[in-house]
Order: sequence, then C-alpha cells, then structure tokens
Amino acid sequence: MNVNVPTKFPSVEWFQALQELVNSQEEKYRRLGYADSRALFRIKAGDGLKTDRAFGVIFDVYSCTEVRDLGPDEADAWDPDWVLEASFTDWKEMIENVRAHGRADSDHTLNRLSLLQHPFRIYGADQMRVDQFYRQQFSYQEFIDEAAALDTVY
Amino acid sequence: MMAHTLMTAKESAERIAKLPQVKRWREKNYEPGSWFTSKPAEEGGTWGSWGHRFAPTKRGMSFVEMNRADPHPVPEEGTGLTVDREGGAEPSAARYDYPLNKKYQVWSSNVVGLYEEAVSRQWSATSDLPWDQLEPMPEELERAVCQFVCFLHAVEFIPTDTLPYYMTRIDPAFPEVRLFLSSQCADEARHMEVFNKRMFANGGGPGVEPMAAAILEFTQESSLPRELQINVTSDIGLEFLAYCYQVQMMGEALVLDFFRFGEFLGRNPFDKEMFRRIMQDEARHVSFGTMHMKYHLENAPKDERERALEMVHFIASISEAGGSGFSLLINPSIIEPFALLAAGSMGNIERGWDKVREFWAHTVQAYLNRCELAGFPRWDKCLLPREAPF
Repeated sequence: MNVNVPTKFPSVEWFQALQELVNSQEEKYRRLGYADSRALFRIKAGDGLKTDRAFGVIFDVYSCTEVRDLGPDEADAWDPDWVLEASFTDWKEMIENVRAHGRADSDHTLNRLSLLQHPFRIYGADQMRVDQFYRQQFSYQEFIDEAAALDTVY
Repeated sequence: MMAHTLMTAKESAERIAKLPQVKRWREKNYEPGSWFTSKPAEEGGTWGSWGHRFAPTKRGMSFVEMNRADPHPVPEEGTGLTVDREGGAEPSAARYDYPLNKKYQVWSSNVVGLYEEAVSRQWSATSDLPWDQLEPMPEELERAVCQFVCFLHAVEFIPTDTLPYYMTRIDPAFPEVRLFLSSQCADEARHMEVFNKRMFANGGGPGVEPMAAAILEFTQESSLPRELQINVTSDIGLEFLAYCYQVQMMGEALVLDFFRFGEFLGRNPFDKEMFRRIMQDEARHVSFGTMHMKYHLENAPKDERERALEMVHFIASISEAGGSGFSLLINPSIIEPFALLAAGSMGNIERGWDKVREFWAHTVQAYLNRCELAGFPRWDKCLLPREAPF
C-alpha cells in the first residue's frame, strides 16, 4: 500500500488502508493480545459531510478481516458489538491529531474522547459486547493510531 | 522444638522397598498397571475418554474451540475427583467435598473466552510500560496522582486476599473457572505492583491510608435479615454469588470507572498507558462477575433462584445506600485528589468537581445497565442518587 497517496475520509478506502497496516504488523498485534469485535464506526453528517456514514470492521484474533461501507439501512443488520460515533468535525480533529503526533495525544485517545459520551459516543445493544471495546482497547487504539501513516484528505 | 523421631532413613528406605509396586520393579517386572490396559469409562473401564484430537487454530490451542469440538458437555455437577472432568478413576479413588460443585454456582457463559483473552493480554509492569516517558508534574498534581494511586494500590489487595478462598472450593470439573480466577489474581497482583512502582517513580510517594477496605466492610452476618443469614451462610453457592456482586460486579466495576477516568485524566503518556492496560484487565473481571450472576440466577433451582434474587437485591440496596462499596464515591481521600486531577490545578478546582459529577452519573448508569444484564434490574429500586449529591 502506498501511504503517500491521499486517502479520503470518510471512505471505505480509508478504513481499508488501516486494515492493511494492521495486517502487515501481525507481531505487533499479537503482543497486544486477541481482539475480536464486530465494530461499527459511524460519522455523523455536518461540516461538509452531507449524510451520515457507517463502516463495519471485523477484528479477528490478531488481524482485521473485513471492512465494509454500510448503507443507511445496513448498519443495524451488521449487528455490531459496539458502535463508535462522532460528528465529522470530531473525527477530523482526532485523525489530524493522530497524524500530527504520530499517535493520539493525551486529549485524543479513544477512551478520553468517549468516556463522557461526548464528543465521541460508544454504545451497543448489549453492554457485555460493548465491554469488548474496553477489554481490548489497546488494539483498537493502535488501529486508529495507524492513521498517522496516512495522508488523509477530507 | 519437637524431636523428629518418626523413623530413621534406613527404616524409611525399608518401608518404601516393601511397597508392592516397588517390589515388582525391583524384580524387573515392568508390566504397566491398570492405567495401561483399562478401557474408557463408557465401555465400563477406568480410563477417562479416548480419541481426542485437536489441531491449533490461529489462536493456538484455545479452550474455546477445544470445548466446542468436544462432544462431552461441561457437566452440571462435579464428582469431587481431582482429575480432568473427562478423566476416569479407580473405585477406591478419593473424592473430595468441594462445596462449589454445581455448574450454576461457578460458571459464566463467557468464562472460557475470558480466560484465553486474559492469557493473550498479559503484560509486565516492569518492562511493558513507557516508564521513561513519565514527566515531572506540578507538586499538587503529583500529590493527587500519588493519593489516587495509593487508594488503587490498596484496593487491589481485596480480590487477591479473597479470591483464592473460593478458588480452592471449586470442583476440578470446572477448571476454566479456576483458571480464570487465577488469571484475575495475576492481574490484581500486577496492578498492585504497577501502582506501587508509580508512587515511587516521579518525585512523589505513597499517600494517606484511603480506607479502600470499605468494599469488604459489608458482612453478610451483620447486614442480612436473619432468615437470609441462615440461607447464605449455610450455602457457599449463594455466598459466592454475593461475593461476585460485591467484588466483581459492583466493586470492580466502580474501580474500572476509576481506571477509565484515570486514563481520561492522565497528563502524560505513561499514566495514560498504565491506566489503559489496567482498564483492559479490570473489564474482564467485571465481565465475568456480571455474567456469572446472570448464569446463577438463570440456572439455579427455582427456590434457590428466588432466595438468590432476594439476597442480591438486598445487598445491592446496602451497597447503594453507601453501606459498603459505593461509599468509595464519597470518600474524600479518593474523590478529592480525583477532582484535582480533573481540574489540572487547584485554581480550576470547580471544573474538576464538574467532572466528578459527570463521573458519578456515568458510573451509576453503567452500574444499572449491568444489573439489568445480570438479571436483577434495579432501575426503580436503586438507592444511589442518579446525580451526584454535591
């Protein structure tokens, strides 16, 4: 993958780029431990983004096995373990922060952004499935931190 | 000092030499014993079961997939034998009276996966954290971190002091539960270690005794109505259920929220990463406790289920009323440093207390979600104020 090619966010290509980076570093993710989730990343419309977007990502053991662009009617049927949701503006701020610092700084970690349910929101139909987000957070933080290597455009 | 007069070394050697199997081996009779020829139990023999074969998956040799592939289900009751649950035994084999010998008393639907996850996510307090990225902090903040961590250090003693009591009482037919609880003890020991090291690493030091043992101040004998005292104290299954509520589902969930806020408030890469690591571990413990309660309440015999439900609601009320675990939320030596960390400085302390108020509401909501999931909804029963009373 050529990480110097500008990659648009939000897009399935952007999440696939993260997927490729994860899958090319199995040893790093093996050290972090199992990560098993059906994750849904939701970007709310606004700030130039015309409609809500949702992307399903499957994490399986040490790799990321699937990325899908989910249409408005597909997100619920995707049956996610957890949903990470924020406005386009807040996603942009997080991604730009990761890019600027090489990884999320103290104010932009997933836990920091979602703990009070704003600006990010973490939720799901089953609290125990949502807890996977907390139990395996190192892996999901690393997944997002891979965006440091991307030339993200909006 | 007592003299050792049991026997001499010579007498001991003579006694061993007279044992039937030793005599046989001395006579060069190496014919194996019954273990070598016995048939599997299902054919009337004393061997356990035979013919198992399992290739590693991408996880390795995981109990989750091995159990799934095994045609023999996890039994509803243990036999008291110190052998694998599919093992065999001679009729003369000793059977032990493990009081937690029913599946519903110990099991949770996710215990097998949680154990494997725990093993795969172990880490070292000594070498896996970026200790070199600890940054000097203003003295008032370092003092707040040290006091907060001093509390967390103390709170880790609770499960390590108490879990082994229950582990040793669980029938060997349920090794997954024993293994998971062992992994929890390892986790708690590591947390104790990392908090201990953190207190001494950045210019501060251990603070004031934080009364963390409040979680254990609850005692069934003193707190339960008389009719429930009899049921609980004579039934270790109910006692373990009460323990899972008190320590794993309520106490550790509260501490998990402290960890999450610790990560939230961390002002340097080290503190952030320390809390993120710990948070992962603690979430497994809460998950086990919650799902064990659900399993017990769904699978216990009907009359026990009713007693269990009554007991759980009662101890929840005590706890929510500030009689035990939730008293941590109003403990000044915990909450005040927490507020200062949230504020960033005493000059901004009001802002810190606003965060504490958000923390309170978040914690109560998460607790109520878990109660519902565990099978004893408390939406209309909860005695904790939904909003911080300050």
